[in-house]
Amino acid sequence: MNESTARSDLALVDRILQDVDRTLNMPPLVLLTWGLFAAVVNGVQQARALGLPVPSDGSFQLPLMLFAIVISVWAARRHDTGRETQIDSQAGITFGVAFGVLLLVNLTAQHRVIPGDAMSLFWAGGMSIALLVVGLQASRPLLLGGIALLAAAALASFVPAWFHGTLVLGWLAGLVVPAIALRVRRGRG
Amino acid sequence: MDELLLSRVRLAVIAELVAVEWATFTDLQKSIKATNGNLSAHLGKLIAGGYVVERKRFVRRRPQTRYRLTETGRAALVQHVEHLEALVAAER
Repeated sequence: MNESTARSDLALVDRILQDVDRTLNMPPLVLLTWGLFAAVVNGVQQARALGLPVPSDGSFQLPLMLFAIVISVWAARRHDTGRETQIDSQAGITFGVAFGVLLLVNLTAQHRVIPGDAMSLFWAGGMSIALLVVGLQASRPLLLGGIALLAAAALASFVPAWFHGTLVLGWLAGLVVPAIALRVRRGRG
Repeated sequence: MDELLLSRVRLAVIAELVAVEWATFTDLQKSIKATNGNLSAHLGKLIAGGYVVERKRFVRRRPQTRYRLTETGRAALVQHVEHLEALVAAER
């Protein structure tokens, strides 16, 4: 191999590596589903705090969560294009770890050492970290969603009468609105 | 010099796969602009050399082949680029 071929090969590798695909191919329906799930759970808590007649948590949370899992798996399979960028892989790990840790804490510690309201804050805070980590790397809608959810988690404690109502707004702005933005953007693309 | 990476198509395939976790045959064909047969032949050599792994599956009832770079392939690219840089530097 001569110098000119070496240069040309180096330029080829350089060009490909500079043009790294940083696209996030996350299915918007998954974000939408979990955003609505969290909003409904917090909405019921808020209604209860306002004295309205609502079903017990156990009667609707588990079926709703199972429904959200089924929708998520269906959406992920339907959305699968075969191509998986490094951002997709990191996003999967980040959301998966955040969800897993929060679910474990929820199942083991809630009502023993963590009051229900504090657990709601943990969910909002934990998922806002995941949104911020992924958003900072690859997606402005997720970044803004993470900021909105974090802001709601920070503000909720200052309005005790509307604690869960503030979190409902946080989940809608944190997951539902970014999901719609991603869907609209993909539709245009 | 890495014999397998002396081909520009194979070098481009490895560089493309550095940047993604998984890429489909169609993805690689689009970015490298190689013909079906040509790309298949080069991918076959990279798979035989242990630089790339291939996974076949069905997505919405359609067959799909995906490729991923192995650690051997990643190390080979790094070493090959170092050799190319040394060659260019030596000629200066």
